[in-house]
Amino acid sequence: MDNIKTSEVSQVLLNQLKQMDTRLKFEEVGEVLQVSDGVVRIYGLLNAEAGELLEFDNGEHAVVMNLEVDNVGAVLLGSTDRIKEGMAVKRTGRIASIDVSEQMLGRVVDPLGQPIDGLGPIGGEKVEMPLERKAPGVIYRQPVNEPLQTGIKSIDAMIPIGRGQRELIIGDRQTGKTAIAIDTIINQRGNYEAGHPIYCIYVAIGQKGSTVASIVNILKAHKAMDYTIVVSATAAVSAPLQYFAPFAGAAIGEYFRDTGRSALVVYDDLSKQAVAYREVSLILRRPSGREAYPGDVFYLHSRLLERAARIIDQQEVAEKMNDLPESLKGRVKGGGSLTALPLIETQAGDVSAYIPTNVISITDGQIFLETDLFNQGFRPAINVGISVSRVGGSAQIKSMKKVAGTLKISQAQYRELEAFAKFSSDMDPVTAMTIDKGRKNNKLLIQPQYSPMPVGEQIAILYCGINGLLKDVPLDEVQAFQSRFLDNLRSFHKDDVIDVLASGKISDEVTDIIRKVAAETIGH
Amino acid sequence: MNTGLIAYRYAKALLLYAVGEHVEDTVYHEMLSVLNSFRQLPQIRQVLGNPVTKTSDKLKLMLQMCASTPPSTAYERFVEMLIDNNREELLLQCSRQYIEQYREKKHIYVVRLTTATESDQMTVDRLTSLLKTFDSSATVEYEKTIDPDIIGGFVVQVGYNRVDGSVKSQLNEIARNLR
Ligand SMILES: Nc1ncnc2c1ncn2[C@@H]1O[C@H](COP(=O)(O)OP(=O)(O)OP(=O)(O)O)[C@@H](O)[C@H]1O
Ligand SMILES: [Mg+2]
Repeated sequence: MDNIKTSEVSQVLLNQLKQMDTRLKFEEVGEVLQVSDGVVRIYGLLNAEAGELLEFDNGEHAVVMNLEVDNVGAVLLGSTDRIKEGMAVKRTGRIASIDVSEQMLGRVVDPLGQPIDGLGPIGGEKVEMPLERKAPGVIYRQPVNEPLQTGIKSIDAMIPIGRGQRELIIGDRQTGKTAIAIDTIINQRGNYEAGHPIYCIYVAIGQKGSTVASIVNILKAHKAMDYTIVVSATAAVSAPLQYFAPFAGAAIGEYFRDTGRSALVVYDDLSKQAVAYREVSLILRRPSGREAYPGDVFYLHSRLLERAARIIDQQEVAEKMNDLPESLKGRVKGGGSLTALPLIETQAGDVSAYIPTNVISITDGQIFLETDLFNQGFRPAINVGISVSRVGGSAQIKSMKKVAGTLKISQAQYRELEAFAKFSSDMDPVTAMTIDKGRKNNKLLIQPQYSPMPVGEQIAILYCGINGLLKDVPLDEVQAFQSRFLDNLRSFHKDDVIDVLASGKISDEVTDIIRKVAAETIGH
Repeated sequence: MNTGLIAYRYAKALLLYAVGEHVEDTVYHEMLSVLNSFRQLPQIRQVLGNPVTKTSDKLKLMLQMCASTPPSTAYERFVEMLIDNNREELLLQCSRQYIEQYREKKHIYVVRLTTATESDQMTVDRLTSLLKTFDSSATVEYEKTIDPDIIGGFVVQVGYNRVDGSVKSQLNEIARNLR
């Protein structure tokens, strides 16, 4: 327990009691008409506002979603069975919000910020962050130019992600979507240790409780929980809570973003959120459109993802940010960022379905995962040809850009040649070499789970592949070569190769060492 | 679907018709007992909304709910119209709307007064005269509840506005502030 004298406690309480406002206030009340499936219809509350928090006499809460002539539709934040027809509900005049504190790191919370990991209450100074909040306007932003390293070679080399960007991870079920997000979180350990953490928020929506538990265990095992918060709304909780979960994640992310720090939020996945939203909307009897989703499901995702941003460095501008919650006034610092990795599950690779097309058009790029590639053993199963990052090279460190700048195109050429090679038996030596290099690069891009690679090492090994240093290595020994090569570099050339590359610099001295070490590794 | 607006229009039409026929008071009392029936037996709504229930049964049920024998012609016609237009589900909301619109027209204020013990006549008189200062032609109907749970003080609700002066809510407020 905190080390406070009892007298101090009483003094604090006395002050609090003195300040308490006990004058009678007029409250606006309504009456519950109907309650079902996490949704209430309330008679009265004529002045209620959309998104406003309502309070029932027993302390339960709901959020206003529908405003009609004589009634209000609201979604319950607690359980349905504590609300009875005829109960009184009052307005609070506040918007639904979540209490965020530094001590949330390492914890698993529900979308209302309550801990659900059995480790007791969350302490620390609490800052009230609204679930729904307008995204920062253009003048409060700055271009994305700082990389967010995922530790996954094919992404960092060919589909680089920048801080403040929104990059969609899309693919069928069981194609490794979650794996990419989790590896990215694990890869931020280095930043945490170096003292400039990227805080991570993993939002699990509509997943099985056991899946969430195993993800938390993996994050713990890789010491990633030190800088991570998990927001969980499993498939067992009500649809409204699943619908709110990503907003809670965004609100927590904004706390870090607006206090000048970097944060990463993963929404796993937005397809399930859309389904929860559809359920709520249907119960509220909103008109439905394509695939029975309500017409504003696009707006649901766009307003969520717009909140990912890189905030301007200029302190005096950042302080005036639009829609700043009261609790953050005086704490704002410029230069923070919130990066979003939304996940979308497709059915049989159909990216032209409603929700996938929506989210593709909102995000700054997509990483497409394919079942075929996954089954062929190319894991992560990224289809590099159609995956893009619109922020692209500006979010890449120089050394990586220099080494891997052409990798995407040369791999595309290789794939074309490979397709032709199936039909012809004799090839000219140039074609044969291109194919050989392409195959080996493909092997280098295969990367097991939970082993994100620091960017310096990535550049060194990709340099070998791209510059044909592997031509004497048999195809099935490429991975063995990789680990021996990197071992050598780590043992003897950390300072003059790996660290130099990681700092964004590359020179002839560095590449000469790489060539020398590669030759030695092959010689053994 | 904006059921509130639809019910509002039905109720408005009924009130206009009833005023024309000079039976608005009768219909008001009928609507009060309809609302009361819904309060006592919430299942009625399911029955009325169920497409399998026979319309003749629905009609019979709806006529019984108004508790006057025989029901006024205005009410009978209204119920038949609801059935013709497939809106029998809206009876509950229509009854609320009618009651509200009628009260507004007649300057009737319903005061829900909750106290821990029997409230004395003086309090009631004071409330009435207070309301008369806002609206001189006000008629005040009281719905008194005795609820020992609120410990002391009172809760007054007029329309959608409530003043909670109960000891219970003040204790709750203190508890919340200390948390
Ligand atoms: N790079 C990888 N190397 C080897 N196995 C992997 C890799 N990435 C993912 N897997 C395995 O593939 C399976 C599916 O991965 P994951 O759960 O991340 O996919 P998902 O697309 O999120 O699936 P779901 O649709 O069920 O959410 C898991 O068993 C995981 O261990
Ligand atoms: Mg998954």
